[in-house]
Amino acid sequence: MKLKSLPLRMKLFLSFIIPLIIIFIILLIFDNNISSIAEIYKKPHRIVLLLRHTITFTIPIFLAALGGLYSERSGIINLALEGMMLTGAFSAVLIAYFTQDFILAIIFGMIVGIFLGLIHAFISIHLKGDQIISGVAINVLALGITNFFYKVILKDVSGAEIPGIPTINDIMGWNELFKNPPLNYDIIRMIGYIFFEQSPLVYIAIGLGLLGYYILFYTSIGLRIRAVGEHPRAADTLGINVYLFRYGCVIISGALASLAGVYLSMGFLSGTFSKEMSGGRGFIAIAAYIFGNWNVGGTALASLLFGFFSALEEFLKGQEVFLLFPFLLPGIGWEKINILATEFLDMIPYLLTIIVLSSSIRRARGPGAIGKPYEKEMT
Amino acid sequence: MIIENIIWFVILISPLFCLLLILIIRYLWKSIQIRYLVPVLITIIVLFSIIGLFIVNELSGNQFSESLDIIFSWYWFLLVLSPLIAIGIYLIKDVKRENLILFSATITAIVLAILISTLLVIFAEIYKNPDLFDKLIRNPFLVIEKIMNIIQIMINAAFGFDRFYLLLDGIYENDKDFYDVISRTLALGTPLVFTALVFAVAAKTGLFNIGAEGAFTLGGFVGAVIGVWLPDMIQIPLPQEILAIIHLPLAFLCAAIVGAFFGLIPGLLKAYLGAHEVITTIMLNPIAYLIVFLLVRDYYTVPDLRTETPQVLRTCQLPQLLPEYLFAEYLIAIFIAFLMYFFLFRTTYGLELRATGQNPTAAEYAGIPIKRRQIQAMAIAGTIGAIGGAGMSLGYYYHFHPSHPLGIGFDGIAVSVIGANNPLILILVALLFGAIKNSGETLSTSLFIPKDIIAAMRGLIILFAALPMAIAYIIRRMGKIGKLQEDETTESISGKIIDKNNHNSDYTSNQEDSI
Repeated sequence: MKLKSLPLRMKLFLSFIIPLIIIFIILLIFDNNISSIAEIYKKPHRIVLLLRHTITFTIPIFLAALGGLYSERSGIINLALEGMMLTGAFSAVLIAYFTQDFILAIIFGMIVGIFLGLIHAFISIHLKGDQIISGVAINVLALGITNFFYKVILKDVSGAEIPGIPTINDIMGWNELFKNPPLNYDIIRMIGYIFFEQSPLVYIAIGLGLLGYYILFYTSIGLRIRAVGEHPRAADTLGINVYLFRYGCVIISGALASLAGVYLSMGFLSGTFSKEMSGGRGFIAIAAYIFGNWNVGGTALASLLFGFFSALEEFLKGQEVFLLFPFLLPGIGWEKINILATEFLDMIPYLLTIIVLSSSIRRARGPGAIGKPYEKEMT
Repeated sequence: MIIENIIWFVILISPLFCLLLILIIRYLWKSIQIRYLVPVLITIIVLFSIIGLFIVNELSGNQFSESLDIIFSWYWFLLVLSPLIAIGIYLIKDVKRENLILFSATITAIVLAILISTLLVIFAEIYKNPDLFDKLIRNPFLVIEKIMNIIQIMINAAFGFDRFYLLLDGIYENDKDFYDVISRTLALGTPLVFTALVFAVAAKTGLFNIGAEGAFTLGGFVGAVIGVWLPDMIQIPLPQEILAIIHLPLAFLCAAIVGAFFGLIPGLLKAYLGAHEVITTIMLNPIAYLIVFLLVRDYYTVPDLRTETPQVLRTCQLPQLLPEYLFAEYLIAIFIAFLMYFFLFRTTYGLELRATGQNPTAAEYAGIPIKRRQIQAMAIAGTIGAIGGAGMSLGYYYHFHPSHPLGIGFDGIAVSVIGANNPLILILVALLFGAIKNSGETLSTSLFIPKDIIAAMRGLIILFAALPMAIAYIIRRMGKIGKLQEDETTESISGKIIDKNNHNSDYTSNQEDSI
């Protein structure tokens, strides 16, 4: 394939991604942690951990993106994914703390997400308020209220992990399994460790993804959802209840986003809640479904990309690579800057989101009636 | 006492003198309207009275200076508040039926949000001592009393009424306490003027700019760096006098340039690559925070401090306006808000920006380069945010810490949404928000509840402001004020940024245009 034949945005995207991949390969070759051959057999290989983390980090983004996809396909922008994740994570931890029951915690987390989805749907469908402002408001509200209740209720147990919270991994007895990563020669165990020894919510999420793909593109319900998002007036003329479908989709998106939050707090971290623990994953999810061309498959691949770079961030932490050329910091002098400082690594998902958004968005068109409130004809 | 008589004579004569002056101005410049002269009038009254007082003090051989201090401080206080009074008087002429409904809808939103957050506070109290719950169950009126009590604490903390009554009783030692409260309210509201302007200018151009916090962080950082390290940067020993002249303007200029470039990024991405500006600006906020955090932690600090710059030099400190908290960035904020009002509503360029926001297609056919206007609006917004950040770190704090601006951006959005993106109304709403923040902080310290109650309140206010139609509808039902075109309410509250391309729902406005 000639480079000239590529579209401009693809070139832009590749020009950002290829250097990152080259850096990654170089770092793999010169891995600091393995100094001798004997050590290779004692330690689990870090690439195994990287791949495992890729899947682990992909799931919350994918779940939230799937929710956003439903909502967006029906014509409602859901910027509140971040807030829904946060409240889902918090309420699950809260309920698990009080009832010691993880199933109840998951259900309650999803109910809270559904409630937030209802608020968003009510504002943007019935009241015809501004969807973006409503989304931002729910995000801010979620941030404030979760912090408030966290400090009021769980203040005494402040720390990295709240003790006595059952997580799904505990119940299934898999936590012991997670703590014993495979050694280097055990290839079958390595594959199992990467793909089949994850938290149960991972497989639920994959199942939900497949279900979403089937519902959206192979059933009449999916066709109606897409019609409502594309041309609500035409759909209304054909007898489809526009409001009902939009409400349903926003509620589903709330449930899925809060399930992503539940996974964050109780799936791959065992029973933890911290301030702003969603860390912008809701917005990354929006970038994921836009990059995935409003399709379930594309969204999954885009989430995998984001998950890989989040895992890479963990992988590269604690290493030092100084640039050859020092920068001039005004007032301080010429300084060499560590490009693998924690701050730069934390920046990777945010930068990647911006790059992905600016390199992909005009390749395809989203649903036609996105962001516009629909008004029924007066009878 | 002859001197006191003279004082009262001067105070009484100055308004008459101003009136005379205004009549002369009116005679010389016939096209000017009286309402433009109202702020001038107030300023001149206060200035003349102060000058008169000084003259009297000089004549009496400084015997009078002690009580003069008190009177002077009151005049100074009024002078600081005068821009707000001027805006209030200016806005009174705009009172129409629709605006009244909007106004009451906004007030209802704020009141509802405050009520719900008082319920949260009561919940927190109940959680701390469960005995309270039994009491409240037994006596439901106690809940209302509790709510009123909390609201009273908040109002006193925000506006200092209790201290004001003490002042009226003649205990003059307390006037500093009163100024503390008011100056804190004004000082907490000041950064919100900047961040709300960031959102408003972009919203008038049809863009959602959530990057106020990033611009604010960068501006604060650059301002503090110039404020501390300028002598090291130029490496020429300058005399203090010259440094004092160039230091502050240079700091603000550098911050503004950095902010403009920061605002350019989402503008360019939106205009030429189509990246949604909401997500790019949200993502740029943590990027700016992380870069600044890294630089401050590793380089721009001194060994004793952790992740904060040392205090800025004496030559780069903004002067204090009211004791303890209020600094000159308050005046900068009001000046910039007035400037943006003039710019948006009284210049061709501002008209082009607003046209781009209201109907991009029509604007393009009218020959307006909409992409360039969008980019320029984002750059202007970034500049304003960075100037605000620099003002904050050179004024209120005198140093910079990366966590200073946290949460300010979302407050700004709330202010802007409530203030209908009008720069003049923004000032008043921002100071109201300053009052809410001040009272929330006092509340959290006096009742031992977390400070995050303010964040929850902020979210509730934005949420209620996002549903203006429902509130306006209820108010119309209740007050029977009259029928109103529903589209108008929605648009003007959410800042006229609803996509006008939706022809299906715009029959009413089209008809109006054709008439």
